[in-house]
Amino acid sequence: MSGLVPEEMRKLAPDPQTIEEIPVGTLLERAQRMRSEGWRLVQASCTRLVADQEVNYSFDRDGQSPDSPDAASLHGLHTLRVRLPMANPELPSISQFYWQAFLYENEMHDLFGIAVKGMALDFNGHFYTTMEPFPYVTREQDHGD
Amino acid sequence: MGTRTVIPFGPHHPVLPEPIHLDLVMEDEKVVEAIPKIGFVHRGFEKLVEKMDFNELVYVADRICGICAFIHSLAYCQAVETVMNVEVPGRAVYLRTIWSEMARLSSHLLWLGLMADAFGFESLFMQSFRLREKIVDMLEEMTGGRIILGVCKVGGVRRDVEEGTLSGIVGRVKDMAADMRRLADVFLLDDSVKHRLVGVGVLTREQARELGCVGPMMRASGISRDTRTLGYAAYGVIDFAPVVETAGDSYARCAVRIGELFQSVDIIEQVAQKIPPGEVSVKVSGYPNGEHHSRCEQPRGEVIHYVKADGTRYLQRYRVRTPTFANIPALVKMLQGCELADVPVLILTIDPCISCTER
Repeated sequence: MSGLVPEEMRKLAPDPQTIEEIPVGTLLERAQRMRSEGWRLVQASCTRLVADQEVNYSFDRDGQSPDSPDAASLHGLHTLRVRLPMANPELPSISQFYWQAFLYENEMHDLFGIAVKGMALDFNGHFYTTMEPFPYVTREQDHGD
Repeated sequence: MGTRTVIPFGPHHPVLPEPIHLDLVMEDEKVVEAIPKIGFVHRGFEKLVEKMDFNELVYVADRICGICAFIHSLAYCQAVETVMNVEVPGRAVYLRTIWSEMARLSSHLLWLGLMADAFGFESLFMQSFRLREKIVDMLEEMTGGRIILGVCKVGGVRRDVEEGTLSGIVGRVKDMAADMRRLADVFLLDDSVKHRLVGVGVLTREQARELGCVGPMMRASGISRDTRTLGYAAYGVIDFAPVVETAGDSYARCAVRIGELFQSVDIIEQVAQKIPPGEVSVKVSGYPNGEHHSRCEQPRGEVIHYVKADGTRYLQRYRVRTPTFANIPALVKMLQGCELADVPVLILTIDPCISCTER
């Protein structure tokens, strides 16, 4: 905030965010632990990079939870990140711990072509209707634009 | 167990302004399972990062939805500003807060109207939209836009509002509070409305937590969480507390949104008293390099705009997680065990914004 902002605004805390990269093999164990520690699944998403793609699972904790009585925890966003190869990417589903994850996981499949195993509700590629399959796997720049 | 039948609900249905489909597995008049399907109008806005640079994407964010437009652009700009370490002028921060609350008023009044329409109370629908029109008129006076405001940009806002105009707007919003009270009394006290809402679609506090609900859906189940308490924009210096109900039913969700109408009026008044003079934007140079999840409270709940950039004009990734997307699992759970006649009401109580979800 600039000097034009009243002094009290300087007290504003940003939304602290941490990213932890983990091996795919430990994803289920970590998701289970996050669940037991009272973390809320905030979002899950993919980013297609040049050589690989990353999948982010973001969590935060309810400040009123007995697991996290400190108010500061209300403000934190903790992201677990796994990296997947471009060819035949596969992930285990975390919907056994976070049921609502099936929405994010079906999106990962339909847009990024990631095979997510064991989803609570599997739309088998019919969650999104797209003109071409897995539209986010390629980027326009890949075609020389 | 009786004979089960499947009733397809949507994607086109009189109660749905936008397409969403539910396969309702029925036993007589009871829904035993609901399977959602979205994606009929997915627009692929996020893929536009390949063609539009980080400044042009503000216009894209503004057009994700016709109800939550401003807060989308705000969340996106905050994400880029955080990555680029841009200090936004104080006046711009306060103006963003005013427009966010005006957008909340507009959205909640629209929802009240649609809800009234869903349970067949047409005059209530008309009164809600009559009030909403006044808010939209005020937005037009301040920004030049009624729905898509187009005023947010990376580094601040594009328009200032003169002090006289601002004080006039605040006075008119406060005057509207009396009309809103009369409207609220019908929603909260009328027996025919309560008959359709009380005890319908109960979501317990535990279920709301487990299913990752956001916004009024969560607060109506007794969870005091509101992304504005993070203190983004000017919310860190505004005195407010999340509006919370505990019953977890459709009536509670209605009561939360009505409570937020009056809360928004109060916030606008506070902001207008504290807004500092000065510039409304700063020059931003260079390209973003880094990543950030920007979280804002839309009328429907927490929205997340994620940006990842590698120091070039074009972002590597732009991702929007909308509140409706987060509330769909709760809708599925709420529908289990409800009466078929309550399905339209329950769908509307999550205040679905498919336009956002199909970004």
